Amino acid sequence: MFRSTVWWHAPLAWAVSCGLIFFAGSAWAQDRVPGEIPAKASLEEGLWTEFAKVERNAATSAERISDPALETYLKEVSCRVAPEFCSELRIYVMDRPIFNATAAANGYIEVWSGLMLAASNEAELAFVLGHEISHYISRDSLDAFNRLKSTRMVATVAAFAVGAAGIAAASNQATVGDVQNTLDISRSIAELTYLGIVATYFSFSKEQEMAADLAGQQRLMRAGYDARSGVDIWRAVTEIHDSSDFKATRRRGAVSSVFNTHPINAERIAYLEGIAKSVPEKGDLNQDSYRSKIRPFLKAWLNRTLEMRDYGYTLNLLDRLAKPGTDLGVLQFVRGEVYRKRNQVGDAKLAIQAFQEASKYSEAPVELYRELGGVAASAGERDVAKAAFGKYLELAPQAEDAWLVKETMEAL
Amino acid sequence: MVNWIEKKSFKQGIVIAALALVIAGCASVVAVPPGPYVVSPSMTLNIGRIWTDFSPILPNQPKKVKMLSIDGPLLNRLYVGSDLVAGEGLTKPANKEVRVPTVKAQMSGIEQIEFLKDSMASFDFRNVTTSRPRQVQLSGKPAIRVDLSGSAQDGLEFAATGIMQKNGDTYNVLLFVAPKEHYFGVILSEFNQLAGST
Repeated sequence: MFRSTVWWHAPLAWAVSCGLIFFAGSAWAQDRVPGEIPAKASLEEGLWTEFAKVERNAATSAERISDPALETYLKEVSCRVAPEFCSELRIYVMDRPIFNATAAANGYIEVWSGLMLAASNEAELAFVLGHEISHYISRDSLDAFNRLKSTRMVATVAAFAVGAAGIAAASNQATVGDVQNTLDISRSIAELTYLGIVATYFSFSKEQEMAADLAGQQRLMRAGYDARSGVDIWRAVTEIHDSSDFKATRRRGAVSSVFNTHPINAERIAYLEGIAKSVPEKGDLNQDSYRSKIRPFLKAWLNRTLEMRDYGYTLNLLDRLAKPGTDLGVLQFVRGEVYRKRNQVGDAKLAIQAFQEASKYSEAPVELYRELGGVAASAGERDVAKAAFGKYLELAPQAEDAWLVKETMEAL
Repeated sequence: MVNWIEKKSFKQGIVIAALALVIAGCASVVAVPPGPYVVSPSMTLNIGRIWTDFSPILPNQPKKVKMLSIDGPLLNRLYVGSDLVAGEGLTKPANKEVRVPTVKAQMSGIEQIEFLKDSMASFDFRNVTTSRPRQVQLSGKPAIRVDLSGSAQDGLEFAATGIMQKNGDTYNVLLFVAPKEHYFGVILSEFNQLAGST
């Protein structure tokens, strides 16, 4: 089985793993073998049936990014980290601007766009996929369900947990707003009860999360990816969340999941760093190829991030995305949009600078001239505004809002 | 004894009166009958069918915004915002950790369309797009109208049409949203009539 064949690179990892196995090993179910299907009339078969419904909802959700090239790419990465389970894994990318990925009991995995934006390269994505696949292999959902049955609310929770509606609410039906609500302690009692139960259902134990981290790390290294990628992605998540405008999101930065049950990131970073340090050779990062895969979605995903109106969070994300020096036309445009929408003292100037910087790149969207014109007009920079509006009309003479832009320009 | 009964009756009367006040104060939906519907001094709508005002029972509903429906909010809903000033929107944030679209002083026509689009997105619709921005009249004054579309989280497609009007430093807003299949088309003529525009 997976855990018994683990080879450890560092004394720290060894100690941590021994501790984990000692602490939680007796509660864990036997690891899955490739191609295994649940026994007839077993609890696991029931869970698979319910998750199949959830998966159908995910497949038809408006939030699913049904792009064959992107889905194939994620499938390829997952097959690289878990080749023996390749044929039974299904990966869905969901357009949700929050860092998260979820593995269901039946082998379907959701990766959210917020995670795709936060990952700098393929190796970081591979670490997360390895982590999630490890939950699947270890049947952690089954353990979570069994743990749930031992809670005080047995009848209510168990009845709820096996209902497709409840499961779906957390993994698919949940909108970004719902997820935020889950984390918001000020919600109504009804919402807390409902989502709280679902969150309880989905929460893996701290030991399961740590084991998944270690298993993900092992799979990462076996697949030839850079050993530091696990450390890097958790560090990135911490930094992005720490830069949030919102206290609850900053607090969430101390945990990895939308549900506050994972070990704190500092702890994860420490033990993964211990493993990574023992591997001197550099592995694959595949930064350029990763960016090329997400490039077609950058603008749309960032626009969704903007809908959260968490400007600190978005700016930090943009800083990270801009590091390789590519896609600056789109990234500077979105940066301009952040300042324009934030609209605090001094933001108009920053927005104008960002839009003007974006205009130097061919991939910049044409609407940047419309927005530059608007913010410059508000800031009293008539010449800049007129030039920008003129450029917009020149580049998009057939735009449906051309008459509005022309009207605004003429009023300057 | 009589005095005690009188006192008891008086106390019961107080309790009953208090209960009646509480019950009378309970929020409930309100019918909006056909005819002129004076939303505010700056906006009157020409209602053709009976609508229901769900605003009194909605949490986080701004005082200046009403939410009307004919068949129920999931099938069609009309947000009516009147005299909105900077910082106000069609919905209120549920808590301090949420920001919602709000109007600001001196919005351009482009920004007004953006406000309508952002407002629809804030009602949990995905991939909201706008089309056909045009000049119309609302309560006899110039306004901007735009059509919108988006998807509910489960994939059901919705259509919408919105009107925004600037009155000095305040704004009047209408945003009608319904499933693209059947409901939007059926109620659109009623919306056009009450708004006095197409």
